[in-house]
Amino acid sequence: MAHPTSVDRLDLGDHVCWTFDDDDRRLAAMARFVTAALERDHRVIYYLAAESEPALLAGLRGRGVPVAAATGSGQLRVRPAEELFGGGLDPQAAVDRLGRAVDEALADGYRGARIVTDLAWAAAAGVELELLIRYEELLNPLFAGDHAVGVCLYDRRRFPACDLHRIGTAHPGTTWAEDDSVWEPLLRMHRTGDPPRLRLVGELDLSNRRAVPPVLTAMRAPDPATPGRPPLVIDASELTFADVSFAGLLLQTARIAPAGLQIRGCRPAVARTLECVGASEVPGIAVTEAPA
Amino acid sequence: MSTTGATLVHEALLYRNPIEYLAGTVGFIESGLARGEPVLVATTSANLALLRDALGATAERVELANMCQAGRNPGRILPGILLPFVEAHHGKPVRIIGEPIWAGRTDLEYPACVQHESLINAALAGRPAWIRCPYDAAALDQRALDDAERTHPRLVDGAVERRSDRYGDPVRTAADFNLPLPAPPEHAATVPVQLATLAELRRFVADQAAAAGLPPARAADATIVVNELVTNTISHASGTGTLACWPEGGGLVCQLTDDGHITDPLVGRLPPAIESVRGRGLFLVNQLCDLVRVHTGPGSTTIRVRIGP
Repeated sequence: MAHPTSVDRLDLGDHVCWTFDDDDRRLAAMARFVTAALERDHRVIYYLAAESEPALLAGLRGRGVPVAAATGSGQLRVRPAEELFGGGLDPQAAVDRLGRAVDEALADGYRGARIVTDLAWAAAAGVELELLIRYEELLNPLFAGDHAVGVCLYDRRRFPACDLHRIGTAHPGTTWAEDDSVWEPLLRMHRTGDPPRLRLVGELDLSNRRAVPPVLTAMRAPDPATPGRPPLVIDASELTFADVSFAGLLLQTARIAPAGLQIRGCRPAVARTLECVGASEVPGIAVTEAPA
Repeated sequence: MSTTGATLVHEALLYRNPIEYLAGTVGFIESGLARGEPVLVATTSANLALLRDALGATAERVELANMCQAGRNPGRILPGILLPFVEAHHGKPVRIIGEPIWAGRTDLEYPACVQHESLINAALAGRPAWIRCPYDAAALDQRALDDAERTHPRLVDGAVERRSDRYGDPVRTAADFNLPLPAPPEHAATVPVQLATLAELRRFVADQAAAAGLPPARAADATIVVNELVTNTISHASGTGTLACWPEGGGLVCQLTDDGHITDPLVGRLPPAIESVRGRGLFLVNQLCDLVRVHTGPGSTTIRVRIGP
């Protein structure tokens, strides 16, 4: 996993695959994550799997988290992962439950929600890999709404590396390396609904390839075919790299988005890739470049 | 020969001087235009000048391209020049003069040139294109002229037009030029590639490109290219490989070795459909590089690319 202090760089909107193989360091990171939540008036919902609630709370308390006050006020909620996933994994149902938990946190007056999920549950339940990836994919539209941040805990002792590589691609950011003290998510997505707009910050490549398509799908989905609807807008002014697969995805999206797709503020490398895939010849797509 | 233009005709034209060059091209171009067939000429700078002079005002009715630039990378000629021209005319017969092999081609470029010539027969099979490829018999060595007979079903030499007895299956001929690449030089910077360090790898290539003296736009191209090559390694091979980079003549050379096997000889040479997300990587690599060489077999693939200034 990345260095525990890396967790301080997470903020509302993030969805990360947090891999680890050391429970002490995992607890150190989560204690920092919970402490930051208390300071920023966020609710934490921690879905447990591999440890008991007392063990988690003791671990957090030992690392300085005022656990009694936080659980007493309802700001820190510890729940069994079964409550989220039910008997077997229904990806959309689990995501909907999380969405309601986020709404509830906001209704209770918190500024945001921090969701920690221990996916040891999935390893123990023998959840099919593609189903788990589907669940992670569907979480992206939820977190991109900027009201919540999701930390998905993956124990490298429970998941084979080849599976984790594929699971990681459904997250905008994954902690791959040991002792990476400068880690931050490779990509951040910020989505607003009206007008439909997605701001991409960072880099897009094979390592997070499956994170963006569900967000674009969700942004298209609720749109009724009404005339005069605004086009889908991607603010790419802080997107420093995007691979050719993403450029291809944008061409596809432009063809099916009823009011077209605008990609604004492209930096040179992204503009070049779009040019190479023939974006200028596709109807419905408009690319503007960042001022030099 | 007479042709109805209904299907592909791919022939080598041997010439020894400007007079023979013009004799083999001007009439070909003019009779095409007279039949209402669009004509494309992609040739060397010198021969472009020669043809412009000879054609006079007629040159304006011909699409002209400088093969030394547009076709510097032989892997780009099909997807970047020939196929777009054929497809722009929607099944109408077209004529093309294409000169991908000239005396200045390096030993490293040459096998990629022959593969291109051979794969024209596969990529354009059944298309109504008449392609005549001039070969400078006075300047090229005998090997190049022999290979032209292997890659072209027909040969034109002065008044003699004949079928080539040495023409063979185009994919098999291209495979004969699937040749080993020299090892990177000792001063090359070498790094392992894997999914977890893809972003770091882009930083590494950008630094190498800048150190090689590439301008920023071409350094960005280098990162785009290597990212796609490595993405293929991670997606299709076992997931790891080794990348070597070194400066060469004001450009950057990158050589990637992995344990994959590229089995489709046309990959990267056909423009991907708009709808497709896959299959764009090598197409883009061909667009941005000045040379792409591939040596592939079961369990081992090496790709060497050159990004010039």
